[in-house]
Amino acid sequence: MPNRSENSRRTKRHAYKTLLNEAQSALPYKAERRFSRFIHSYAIERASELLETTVARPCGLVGASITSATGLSILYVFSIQGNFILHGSEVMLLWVLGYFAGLVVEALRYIIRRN
Amino acid sequence: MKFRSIVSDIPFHPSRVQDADALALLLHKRHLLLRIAAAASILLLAVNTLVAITLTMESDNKPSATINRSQPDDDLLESSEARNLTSYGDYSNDIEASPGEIVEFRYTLTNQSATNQSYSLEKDISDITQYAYVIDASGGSLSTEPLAKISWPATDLTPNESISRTLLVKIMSPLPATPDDSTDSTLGDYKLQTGDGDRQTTVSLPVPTSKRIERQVEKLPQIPLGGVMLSLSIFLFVSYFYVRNQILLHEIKTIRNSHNAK
Repeated sequence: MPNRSENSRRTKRHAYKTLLNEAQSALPYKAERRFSRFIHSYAIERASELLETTVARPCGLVGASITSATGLSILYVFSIQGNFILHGSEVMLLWVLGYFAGLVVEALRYIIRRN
Repeated sequence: MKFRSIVSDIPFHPSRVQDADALALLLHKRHLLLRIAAAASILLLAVNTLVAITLTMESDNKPSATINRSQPDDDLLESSEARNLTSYGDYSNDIEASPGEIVEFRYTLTNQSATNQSYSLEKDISDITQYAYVIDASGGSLSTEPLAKISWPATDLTPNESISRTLLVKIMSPLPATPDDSTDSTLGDYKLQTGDGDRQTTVSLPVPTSKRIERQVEKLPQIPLGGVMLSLSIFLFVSYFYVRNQILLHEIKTIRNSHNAK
């Protein structure tokens, strides 16, 4: 016989599914509804939440994307001007540098706000 | 802040509505950041595709000229030196010059044999003509094929007699971007070198920023399509979180509104 906490868990799960279905049906496109079902599957949701707090921090992603796009564009211009060939691995270096720069900015913002 | 726990608690704990509002605000802030990241990653993918196209097109066309330098003659003592005429410098074996400046090379020939001999002075100046134009060769004749070479007519020299010949060059402005060549270290080194072995004269030119960058890039591993694959992965990764964030924001707003309506 299921105990009280198990009943509560089941009720919550049911409520979550009902609310989520309601929210999903309000999504305008079929592709969005499908994508929503995908991101709310248990494993994907857990993995995404874990990544969001580690390697996919928005500030880090912004820093990394901007640094690598800008840096690579500058390098490309120099490579045309200097008549040399880029090696293809510069993007990795720029991405890592940019990601850490983004994290530093995020940390500084946090410190300034706290003070 | 976990979406699942907030949404499943809303019907039972009204206080969780505030958490849903906070989550919506957080997702809204992230939305802008992720939008910028997604736009930048599209730009990154485009630039990387250009880089890969250039890499594939140019890898076969990289010049690889080899300079065969002449060997010194034992009976003959050859020496060379240079001076920067624009900055009124003195003759030396190691000088510096900037684009547009005029440099004078002086070659001296000494007959080291015990008999009178006729010598013709011939110098390979292919390293000089990479970055400079010949203005005056003091009677010497210039040939460019197969390599830039200058030769002066034969002269009779008595034992221990010396003759000097000068070559006047103007440094190109701007300096051409010559790629480094693994087969000949003197190509693309931004130095004008003449003479043989220990008696070599070097005119150092300023190294442009593009060349400095090239030397750093040379140290990185070469992955021709790796850059495109990597930027494509970055684009997909960022896009996933951007779309996910957008959908979560839409859903939490819908749930919040339906809860208010009830």
